[in-house]
Amino acid sequence: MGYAPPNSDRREGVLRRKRIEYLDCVAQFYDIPDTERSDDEINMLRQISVDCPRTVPDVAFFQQPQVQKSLERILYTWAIRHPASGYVQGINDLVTPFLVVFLSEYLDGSIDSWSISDISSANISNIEADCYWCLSQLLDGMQDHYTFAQPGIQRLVFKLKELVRRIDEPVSRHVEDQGLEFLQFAFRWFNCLLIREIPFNLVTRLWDTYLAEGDALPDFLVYIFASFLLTELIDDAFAAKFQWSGTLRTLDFQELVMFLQHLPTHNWTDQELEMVLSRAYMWHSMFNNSPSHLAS
Amino acid sequence: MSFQKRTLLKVILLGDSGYVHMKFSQQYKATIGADFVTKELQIDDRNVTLQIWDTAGQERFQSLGVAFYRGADCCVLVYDVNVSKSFDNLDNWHEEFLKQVIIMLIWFPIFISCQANPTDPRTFPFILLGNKIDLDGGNSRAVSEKKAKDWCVSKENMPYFETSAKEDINVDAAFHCISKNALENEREQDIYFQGIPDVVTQTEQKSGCAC
Repeated sequence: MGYAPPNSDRREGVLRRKRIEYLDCVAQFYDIPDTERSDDEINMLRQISVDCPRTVPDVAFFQQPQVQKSLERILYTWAIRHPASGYVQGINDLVTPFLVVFLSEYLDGSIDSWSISDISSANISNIEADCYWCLSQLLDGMQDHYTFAQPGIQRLVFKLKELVRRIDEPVSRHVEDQGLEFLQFAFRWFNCLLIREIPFNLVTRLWDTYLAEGDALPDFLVYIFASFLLTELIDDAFAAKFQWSGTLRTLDFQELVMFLQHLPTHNWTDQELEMVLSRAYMWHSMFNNSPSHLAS
Repeated sequence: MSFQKRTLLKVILLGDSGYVHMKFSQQYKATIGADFVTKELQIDDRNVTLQIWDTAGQERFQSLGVAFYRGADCCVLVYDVNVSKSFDNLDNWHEEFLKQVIIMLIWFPIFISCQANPTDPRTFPFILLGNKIDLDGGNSRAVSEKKAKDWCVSKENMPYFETSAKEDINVDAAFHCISKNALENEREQDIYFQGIPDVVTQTEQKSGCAC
């Protein structure tokens, strides 16, 4: 994903150098007494240490103290090295898919049976370093999503609202009539890149798409989230079609917020997610090269 | 507008992150933006539904405020009695909330002429909760009840409750009180406040597509 060079001859060397650089950062910024930190840094570390145990709490693996410590080191080091934003809640969620993928090279079976103590500390350091660089790479394209007032997210939420209006005018009008702001539900989607809204075992599939988009990801997110909001599922067994669009139109303000904060995705498999993604691709190719289509 | 319909009250919960977590719901993840919960109450002979936005405490999310504060009927400030900083920050939260309400009014000046000014700190219903009184049997307490009460007196006699959301102590009483005040405030003021128009009307779409 661009943090290692495409030329395989150089890859080993660059990886080694980057891993050392990460460890140096940890030694320099994390492994120091609080007396050498500023008040802001102490606050940030406190916030991170509060959030790590609350990260993906429904997956037992993340309750292992060593896993939480790794998360804490990655997040704090990233935050110190990115002072324009610092740590923003929700970034803790974004590390987890990387962690799972890199760990899966060492741990077999389902995540429920994993134990971090089966991995040597040298390997854990390497995994942390790789996660750190992947997180940096992912967020480099979205810096203004986490800086003051989060203008990047505000802009994308506005685009999402416009896109939904184009695609499904009745839903858009209903949401508006009920006084529901897109920011009230979609903010979290953008801030945590949908991790909170789907089962955790599907997140790596979603991450594949994100990483494949590279620098174009922020714009593409708008299409994924529009497709997600207007989810259409076809259940072959019952020959039934589920459309969230239809559901949304029957709900009042309170029901809308409740529905959107607890979306019925717990039974989803890759199949449902892929339907969402393929519609996103379709709309992207239909609308993205036609800016007037979205102009207000 | 019938009284029946207006038994919905929109409540905003504000306070520092990590210190306060009301946990009406089984929410164990950090709040991003705001969590939404409802609570049913009976006030006199009316059934009241509270629509509560439990807003995220991290400072970075404060700019979101206006999206959630809009149309609020009352505001619940929460601090942790065991953490003085969460008490010290109350002034910020209080001012920030009022500021956002003022911004709202500048955007929609029609309401200033329609009703008593809701930004008047004497009339907008606030309440203060000192939470987590259960922690360590009260031994880790960092802010005295007197200090909190004095602060409330300086804020137009804001009502004060000491609560434990975890042990469910005094929470119902506190929400009963704020609801009552909000309903009274409503009676004194006007019902226009709930019908704030959407910004979108300004950017109304032209029909047709020129792609």
